[in-house]
Amino acid sequence: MKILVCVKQVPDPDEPVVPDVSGQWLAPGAGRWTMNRLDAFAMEHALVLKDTAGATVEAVSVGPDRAEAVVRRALAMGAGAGFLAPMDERFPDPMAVAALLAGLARQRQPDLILCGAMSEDSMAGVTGPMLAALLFLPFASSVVEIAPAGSGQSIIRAVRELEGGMAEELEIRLPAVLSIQSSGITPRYPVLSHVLRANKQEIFRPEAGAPFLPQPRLRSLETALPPPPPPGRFLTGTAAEKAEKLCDILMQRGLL
Amino acid sequence: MNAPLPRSSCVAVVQAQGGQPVPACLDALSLALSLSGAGERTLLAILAPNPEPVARDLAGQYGCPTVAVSVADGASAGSLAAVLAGMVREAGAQWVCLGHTPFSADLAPALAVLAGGCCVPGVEAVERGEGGPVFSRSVAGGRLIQKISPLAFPAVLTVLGGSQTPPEESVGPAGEVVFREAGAAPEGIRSLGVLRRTGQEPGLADAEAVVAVGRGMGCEENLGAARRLAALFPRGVLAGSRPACDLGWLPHRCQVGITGATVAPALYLACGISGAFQHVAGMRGSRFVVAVNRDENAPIFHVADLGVKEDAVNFLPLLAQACEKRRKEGGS
Ligand SMILES: Cc1cc2nc3c(=O)[nH]c(=O)nc-3n(C[C@H](O)[C@H](O)[C@H](O)COP(=O)(O)OP(=O)(O)OC[C@H]3O[C@@H](n4cnc5c(N)ncnc54)[C@H](O)[C@@H]3O)c2cc1C
Ligand SMILES: Nc1ncnc2c1ncn2[C@@H]1O[C@H](COP(=O)(O)O)[C@@H](O)[C@H]1O
Repeated sequence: MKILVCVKQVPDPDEPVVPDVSGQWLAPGAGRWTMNRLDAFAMEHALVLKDTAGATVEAVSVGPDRAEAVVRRALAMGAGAGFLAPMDERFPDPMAVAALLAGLARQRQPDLILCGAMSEDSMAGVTGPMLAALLFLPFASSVVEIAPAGSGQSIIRAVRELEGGMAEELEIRLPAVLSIQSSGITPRYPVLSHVLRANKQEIFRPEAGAPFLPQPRLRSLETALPPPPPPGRFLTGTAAEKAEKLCDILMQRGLL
Repeated sequence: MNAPLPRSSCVAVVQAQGGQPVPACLDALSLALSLSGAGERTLLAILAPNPEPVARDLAGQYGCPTVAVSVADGASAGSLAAVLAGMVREAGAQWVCLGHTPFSADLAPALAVLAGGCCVPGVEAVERGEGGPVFSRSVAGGRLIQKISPLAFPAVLTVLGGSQTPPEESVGPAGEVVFREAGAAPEGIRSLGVLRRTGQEPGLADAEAVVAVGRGMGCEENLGAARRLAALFPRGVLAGSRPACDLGWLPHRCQVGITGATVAPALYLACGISGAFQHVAGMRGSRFVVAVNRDENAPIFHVADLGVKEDAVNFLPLLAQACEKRRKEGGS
């Protein structure tokens, strides 16, 4: 089974995120980028299938040169090959991203394409379903478990989350696209020797044969801080004073 | 049965469950009504296994021409996208509004691809720009707001529940109802059955006080004071964000949000929770919300009645201590 994992580089979510220089999109306040967390979950699912079912794993990102780092991270985690489809720094139009991913998928012919349920910067959740529609492949979202079904390579079983604590077990004939939701698994942390090896690996840039970049279908006009909440909303004083004040308010309101 | 669809620049897609429209779909209808040109009627599409009763109700209530789309058991977002794409083309629509439900979140992008347009997910607000409507949506966990406008049509929008004022009812005649069917296309994906993955924490749904912890608490060992606090309140329950449960700090049945429990307590104390809309959707009905977060830009402060900008790991023991002391004084 050949798996292609879509990994996006996003601003480190644990640090401030600020509007970028154009004011139309965003950038990390402290300059640090990371792999979108749900894409790390997708990588982990793929690597478990590599370890247990002999799958091969490739990773692809769409983005500017700096996004090479996220492809290297995927290689260090255990992907066998990495691809970067170039795109500039501006707001990444999801339809264009999906078209580039679809272009690479047509070249690589994976059995299974995994992406995250949502990226932490765009919060769109559209890339997976768009990719599936572009490739005319079946799609299931919010997948939390994947296992090979039987000895054949062409069928898998997956569990996808539904609303209200329910889940659905699926039998999926490959090729297919799945989006991965977070779960109790922990994406692996690459060991140093793998990081060093990944740093030397070639990252393929599938320019040749890639489809021309589709015209953007959305215009991002502005990305900005929301207006601050009214200052009166915040308690003031030292931490201990705030605790006392909050306690008073809870008592007054009959909550405590 | 297969009467032609009336032409309309704007379609509102409403899912019905148990004979009722799913709430977020009414937000979609509101937005659709506001995007329709003056004197123009929005086309309603009702998706349900048995859509006719809801279609008749809504066609009467809002005076909109309505398509009752009967959805076969097992029809996926992908198979419905194809049916809707045909309808959007037939109606000549420029705008398609859906509620931001998990089902539409999968349907809308596929529909945008098949209809040759674009998709704007998670719309919270709309304003009139010079070049047409401009939509606002949360990005980066709700820390920034993006304003975005479509360049390709039809534009498929998913609208966040609770973001719009309720749609205005019509005093005019009921809209006509036509019928369509969406079969389950053979797709290579077969359901083997629905199972319960997690139960729900006893007492959570009707708790009077919810102390909710998020990733900002750092580690499981830091939850002691939150646990003590929850026990101090009458009908108090400890709950968490999705990451707090995924990290194993709390069982999954304690998760609040669109993919967890919906709560409406008298007090919701959010500790180290950023306030992403997926979380907020599960606690919006709370009567008094207090947020403890060290980042003053955290979006949770926009839904809080009272904000405490502090390190929650330090603050919660102080609060628990103060409350315990007060309870003792009050109780004696
Ligand atoms: C399809 C889908 C469904 C989802 N469903 C849900 C759902 O049902 N429920 C849910 O909760 N999420 C859900 N999510 C995830 C959601 O998008 C957010 O990622 C999640 O709610 C964030 O959890 P958090 O606030 O605990 O963590 P983070 O976003 O990491 O926020 C941590 C917060 O803690 C603050 N902080 C850090 N350290 C401290 C400290 N020492 N003291 C005080 N504050 C501190 C930070 O400033 C930050 O605001 C869903 C996502 C998807 C894609
Ligand atoms: N630029 C990108 N490069 C690679 N994968 C991406 C990119 N953008 C989105 N994806 C994939 O699509 C998922 C959903 O992203 P989004 O639609 O932006 O919320 C991500 O979790 C990734 O798996």
